[in-house]
Amino acid sequence: MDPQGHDAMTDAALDGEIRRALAVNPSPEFLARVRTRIASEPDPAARRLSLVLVALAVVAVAIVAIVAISHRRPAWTETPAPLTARPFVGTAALVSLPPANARTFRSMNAGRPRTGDLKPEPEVLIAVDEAKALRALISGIREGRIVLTPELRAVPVTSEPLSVDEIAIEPIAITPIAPATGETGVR
Amino acid sequence: MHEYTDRLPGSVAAVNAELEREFEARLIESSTLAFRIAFSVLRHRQDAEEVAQEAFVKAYRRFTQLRDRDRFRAWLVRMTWRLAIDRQRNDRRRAVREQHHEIAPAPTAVDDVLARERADQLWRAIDALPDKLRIVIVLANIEGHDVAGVARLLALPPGTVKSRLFLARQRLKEQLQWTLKGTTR
Repeated sequence: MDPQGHDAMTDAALDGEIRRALAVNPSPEFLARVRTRIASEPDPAARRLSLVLVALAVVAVAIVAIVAISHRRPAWTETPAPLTARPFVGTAALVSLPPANARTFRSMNAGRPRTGDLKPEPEVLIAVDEAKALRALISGIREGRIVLTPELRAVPVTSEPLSVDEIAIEPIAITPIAPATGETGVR
Repeated sequence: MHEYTDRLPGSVAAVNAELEREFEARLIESSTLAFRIAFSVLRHRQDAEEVAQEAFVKAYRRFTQLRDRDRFRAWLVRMTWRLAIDRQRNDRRRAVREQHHEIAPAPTAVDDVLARERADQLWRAIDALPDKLRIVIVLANIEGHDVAGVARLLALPPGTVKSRLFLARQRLKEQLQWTLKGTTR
């Protein structure tokens, strides 16, 4: 008994009270309701199988994505070949002269479809007969076989000659330098 | 039980039938345990049944990993407790409690009133406990679990359960004696 006159509560008494408070049973329909609810669920094994299939599909998609990305990456990561100076018209057989870096890119990606994003420099196209005619013209001028003077003279002058006003220049009076004594060649 | 069973190969269907039997046994064995745990938190019969049912559905979905009896019961206890705590925090229906109807019938009207008052005080004291003390004292008084049994259900060392049980009892006794003194003055 405590100083105030109340009995001290024992563990057993406390547990007894809690047990009485918890002595509640579910309704008789509870189990039936749980069974009905579970009946609408898919089987655990089938559910597990479907989860495994979904996981496999996700892994397959990830692998395909990684492979696709790794195939695309080299075209963008390789350093382009340095640009080199080259003659505008090189050899006699030269018909198409692509830029140096474009040629390198093409050799790197031989047999592989080009992506639409890459924009190489435009190729310089000169026809074979035009190149031949230009070379013949230049060599003819150098060797004197072709004279262009008559043709250049024949070019009509379309512009009017400039009118220039006459410039009046006053005569300059020059005083001869002579010694005061009138002698020459004596200092 | 399921339409899937008919479509699956024979071995898988047999496995499923075995799983169904095992789960039915666990359901019968643990339904009162789950319900009382939920009731100790919610003290509303319908809410407690709903929470226990939800816990069993979750257990069924993971039953291939919970076939061991001890593992199943431990998992069910923790899941039911967690669901009940969540429900208690979110559900406003908790205001209507059934605790008055759960007390053992009293022989006289005066005894009945006193018993109700005492039960109210007890539940208020239990509610005031921290969660980790509350679940220990509740489990120790459901189905007569001893310290080792509670330790297995909560996956805690027996020493931890023992100290928490001691602390919970101390606090409850202090609280109940204080309220008794207050009501008798």
